[in-house]
Amino acid sequence: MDSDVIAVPVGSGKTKMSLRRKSEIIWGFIFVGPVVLGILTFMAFPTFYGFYISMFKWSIIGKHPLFIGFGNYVKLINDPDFLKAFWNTTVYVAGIIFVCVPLSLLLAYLFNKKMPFGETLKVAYYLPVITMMVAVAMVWRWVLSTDYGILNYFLGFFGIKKIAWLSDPRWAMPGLIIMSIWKGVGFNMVLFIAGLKNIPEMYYEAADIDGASSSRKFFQITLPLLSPTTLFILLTTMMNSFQIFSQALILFSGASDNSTGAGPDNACNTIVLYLYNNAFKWSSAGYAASQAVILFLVLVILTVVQLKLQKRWVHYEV
Amino acid sequence: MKNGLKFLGIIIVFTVLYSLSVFAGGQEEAKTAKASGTVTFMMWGGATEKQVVQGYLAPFLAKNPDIKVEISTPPNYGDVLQTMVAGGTPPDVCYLGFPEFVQYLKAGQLLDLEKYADKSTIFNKKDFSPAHLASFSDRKTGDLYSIPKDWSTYVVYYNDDMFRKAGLPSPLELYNKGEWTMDKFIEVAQKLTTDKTSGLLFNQGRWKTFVPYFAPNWIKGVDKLDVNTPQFISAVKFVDDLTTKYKINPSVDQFSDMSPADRFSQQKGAMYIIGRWMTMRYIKSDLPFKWNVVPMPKKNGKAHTWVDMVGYAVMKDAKNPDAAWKVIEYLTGPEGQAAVARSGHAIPIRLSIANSDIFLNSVRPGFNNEAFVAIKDAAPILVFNNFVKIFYDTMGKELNNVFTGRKTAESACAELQKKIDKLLKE
Repeated sequence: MDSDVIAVPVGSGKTKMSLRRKSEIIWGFIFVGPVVLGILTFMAFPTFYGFYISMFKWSIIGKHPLFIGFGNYVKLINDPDFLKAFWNTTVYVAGIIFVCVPLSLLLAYLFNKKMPFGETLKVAYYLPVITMMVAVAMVWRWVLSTDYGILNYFLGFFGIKKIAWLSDPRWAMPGLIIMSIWKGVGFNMVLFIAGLKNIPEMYYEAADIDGASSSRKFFQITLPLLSPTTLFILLTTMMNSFQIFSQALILFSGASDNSTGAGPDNACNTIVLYLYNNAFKWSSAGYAASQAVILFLVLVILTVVQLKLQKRWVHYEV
Repeated sequence: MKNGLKFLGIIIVFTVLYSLSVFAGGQEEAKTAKASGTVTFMMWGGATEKQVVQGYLAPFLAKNPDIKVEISTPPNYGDVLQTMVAGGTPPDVCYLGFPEFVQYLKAGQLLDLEKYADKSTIFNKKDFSPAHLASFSDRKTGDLYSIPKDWSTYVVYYNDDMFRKAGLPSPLELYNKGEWTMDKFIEVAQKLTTDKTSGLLFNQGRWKTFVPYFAPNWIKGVDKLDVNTPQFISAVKFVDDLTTKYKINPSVDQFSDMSPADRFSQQKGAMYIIGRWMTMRYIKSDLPFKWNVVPMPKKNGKAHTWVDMVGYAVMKDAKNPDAAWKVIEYLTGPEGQAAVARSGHAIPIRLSIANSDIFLNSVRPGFNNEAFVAIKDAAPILVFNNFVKIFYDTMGKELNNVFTGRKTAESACAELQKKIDKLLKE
């Protein structure tokens, strides 16, 4: 007989919970309560308040916001700076996903095998991940320096002329992507290594018995069984990359146009950077909130699409 | 049942005791707030400048033991101030420059200081430049909403050793002879430009320094900027010519590798155009060469310079406005301004102090402080200071296209005029 249910007279149609069960439920709510309260206070409320602010013309320090309905959204669609920021962000995300993710998979695959100094190299690749972005960006301002940077120095060995990474609009975004890949590849590498270690050896042994080549084993065993990890990495990388902000701001701050960190000719102006400038430098908090709403919707749509598509290529079990 | 009532009773007792303690504490706090006169003072400049300001205030605090000043120097000053104001917890006194002063004034966040100024026996309007006071006044009523605390003009810092080594007279010698003209300035800069050094170090982002030489009337009233004129275009071209035609100034790209300030201190440049704030930095760095300053050169018999200013503002929702005014009154009064002059950090805002030996003999013997106040009618471009930050950033970005060779001055100025007109309509 179930200890949570007390039998009652036939025909009543009711079951009564025991005191113990009620107590467990109450304590459950007490334990999750603070976390739920925190989520409501610091995530749910600001999200809804952001929607609300986006309907106003408001300067954050102003006392009398003006309700303008969807006026900010109409302005957004016709704002060339926002459209450029959106495009720049998309290019950045594509650069990270199509370069950083495969690179971290390659590194994980190599380091998953026993090799000399393997552990030391894993630590070396992971160190940038735990280094503060401010420090990384300040160092990379020197690495990307046209005349004194080590990147141009090494490129010189291949006969490549000095590239103005920080002042040429054609090269500013590639420079930013290179820096971000250097910073983030270690994190994805560690996740891939964990995923690789979860693949049972017996599949590889069976493949060896059947005479499968290394590449066949990689594409037919490793990749499919790694797909849940790959999905997680793609989702998190996409969401983080769309919110790029501090890297661009610090890398390009102090430019001669007294800029707002957007790089030469706005080449590295991203959605969050443009949002930040609108809110805190140009006193347009309502307009900035509308950009945040658009970013939120884009991320929700992309995440839903990814989750729908996962059924075709993600294998949770063999 | 008995246990439940007992538990409820304990809860009620604790709640009553807690409420009483909060009430009592609140009363005590209310009494304390009236008596203490604590003024929250927010400024930028970090620990170094905080120490300087504490030094300025020490005599005042000794004479006014009922007033305490709590100074804070947050790292992202602008963002922190905005957040505090938006959150309803503004500081009592804060620094405001341009265009921030205009933003806060338009948002109705500043306290009208006119009545305080009128009643004060220490604050003397006649000892201030009318243009300086006008910059911090309401454009319609003329009431003061901030008190200027100091100002800075752009001058030419020069490496005296480089001039001597090249056998050239120093800019100060040329100035004293009345020969310090724009043509001479370019000539000596060209003679001092080599593969490793530049004759001039000038951040193209400070282009507005040279605009008055070519287009003194580019601001046509409170809400109109004329940038698509031959005169303004000439000014922009001149700044670009310093790099491309005269070849005396590094390019934007070269400055991204090393700033003009660092280049000057590392003897990679003979002359550097910048404001007063670099003086104490270089003094403290103990530069390994002789250097001095001289006013901007003359063109067509007249010299121009750019004026930067910062003011002390009292927030409208300040908790202690009366004590806040007393602090500002002292800092901008004769005693406070004399302390500013002796420290060497800035040009005193009081004209009597700025033109006195206290300031002119400050910093070190032989230092040409007079250069900073030599251009007598130097004034902030008042109406330019009306415009909020988006104008500055829009202008800077568009003109940067000229300085990086992406656009001609004509096309950039035409585009800029359209952008400015569009912003003005919003």
